[in-house]
Amino acid sequence: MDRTSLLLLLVLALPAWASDTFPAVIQNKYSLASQPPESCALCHTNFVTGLGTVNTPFGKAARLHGLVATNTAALNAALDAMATELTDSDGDGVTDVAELMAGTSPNQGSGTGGGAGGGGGGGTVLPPPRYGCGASVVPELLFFASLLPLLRSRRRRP
Amino acid sequence: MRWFLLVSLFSAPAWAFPWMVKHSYGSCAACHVDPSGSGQLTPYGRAQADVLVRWRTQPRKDEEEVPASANFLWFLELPEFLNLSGNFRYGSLIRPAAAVKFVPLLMATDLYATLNFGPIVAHATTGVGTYSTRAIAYSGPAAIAPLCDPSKGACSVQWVAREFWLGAKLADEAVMVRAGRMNLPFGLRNSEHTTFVRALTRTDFNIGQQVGLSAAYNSEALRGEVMGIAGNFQVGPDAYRERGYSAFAEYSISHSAYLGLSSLITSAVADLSTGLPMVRHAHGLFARIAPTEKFALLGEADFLAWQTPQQLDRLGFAALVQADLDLMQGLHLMGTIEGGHTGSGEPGPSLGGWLSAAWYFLPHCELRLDNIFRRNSSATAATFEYQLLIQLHLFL
Repeated sequence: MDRTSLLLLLVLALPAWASDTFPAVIQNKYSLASQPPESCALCHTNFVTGLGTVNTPFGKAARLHGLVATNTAALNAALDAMATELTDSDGDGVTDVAELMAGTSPNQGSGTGGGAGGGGGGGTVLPPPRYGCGASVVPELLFFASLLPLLRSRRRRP
Repeated sequence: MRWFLLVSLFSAPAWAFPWMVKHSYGSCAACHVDPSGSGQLTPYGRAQADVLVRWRTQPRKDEEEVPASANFLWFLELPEFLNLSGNFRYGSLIRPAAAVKFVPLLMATDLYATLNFGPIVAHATTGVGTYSTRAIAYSGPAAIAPLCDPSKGACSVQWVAREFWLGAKLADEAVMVRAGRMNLPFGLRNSEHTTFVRALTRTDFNIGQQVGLSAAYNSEALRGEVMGIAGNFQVGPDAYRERGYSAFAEYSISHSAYLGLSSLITSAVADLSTGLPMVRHAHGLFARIAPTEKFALLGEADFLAWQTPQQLDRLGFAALVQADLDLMQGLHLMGTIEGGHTGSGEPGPSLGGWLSAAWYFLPHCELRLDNIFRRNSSATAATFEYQLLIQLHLFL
């Protein structure tokens, strides 16, 4: 490989995002007998890893709590925050951390309470988007009202 | 008013559709109320639609006459300060390999109204749109009412308001400043709003409007617009609203070649797709070239990036090349190749090919066929789909 190609490769190559150690970190953190049963699919949809694939309910919740690829400190902090907030990504009534410690999936409603897959535990999940005026009329009117002083000042000019 | 139309009709070139470059029209402001194109036509634009766009087997006989179709509803001459018109687009989507093989699409039923008081312009659109859980984005983000809850099924018809803005023309009409809900200035304003370049950048003129402040500039050599985005207040709660900017600038290399740059950065507390805090980037190039009066090439390529507060989340792209050939005036044959990648773990890009024909059979009437071949790539598998889209489009 010539020098130009090497330089191009270095400039254009994406950073490596592999977080291979994360399942082991979770195992050690909670003194589990084995790694979480879902392994990479705990966070990555359909076992596909890489940029933009951390989209399972648990993975998204972890990202909301500061999860960063390859950063074990961020993973630990995210898990701690989720434990404090009692995050329940699959909405089955059992918190994510409790499910990890019990060896069940925090993505699939395997706990004993509530319904499956609803999400919304821990008070961190937003309601789904709504379309229509709803609560939006007030901010929209405020936006236009904020323009009125501009129009007034324009009129005052000779 | 008729005298004004006559003078303007034969004194300056006209530009409306992106492919109007074939007729040496680069700027959109002469024919459209929106200075960056699409949507309601000005009276001059309505006349040009009859002169340059409609199907003709023979040249116009009365070159001096302003076409009657320049009037509202083809006959009603309105006072100069008032511009009324509408846009009706109905489609049938045929998907031979899908479970639901026939999908009727009420794409647009908008009424347009524009008031001109000297340099001040007020513009609003209103209409109805359909809403379903299958195609939540169909008219949802443009809906005023009723409120729809996807978990409770389809809400059928919604009241839709895509645009409403107040503007002022300055500097001999070269500059237009606007505030309100409007199209995002970005890339080609092509009518195929589901193409990857429009869908992945969220800049299509079917549902992509946002509230904000904008300034547009139009001259012979340069046109552009920059918009500060305050959010789409027809989407709630507030966490889902994107705020930032969108802009483009297009330079005229010659009367038949234009090169443009676009840029967009928005931030939302919760991205509509992922629900995560996200900064969204789209930056790209676009071009319009007309080697002959019968042929135009349009192209756009956009780099996409999504960023969470912690890190770069994913990278993607969207690109399109379209060739537009006038078989004769009013009869267009179009070929489009497109690609897109959302950076969500797909092994390769989604690819598409469109073979289309548009027939402007009467003034302000279009019948269009799109054969759409798409290879949709996802993290698990790539699927191939063929769709036939038949559209009737009336722009009153």
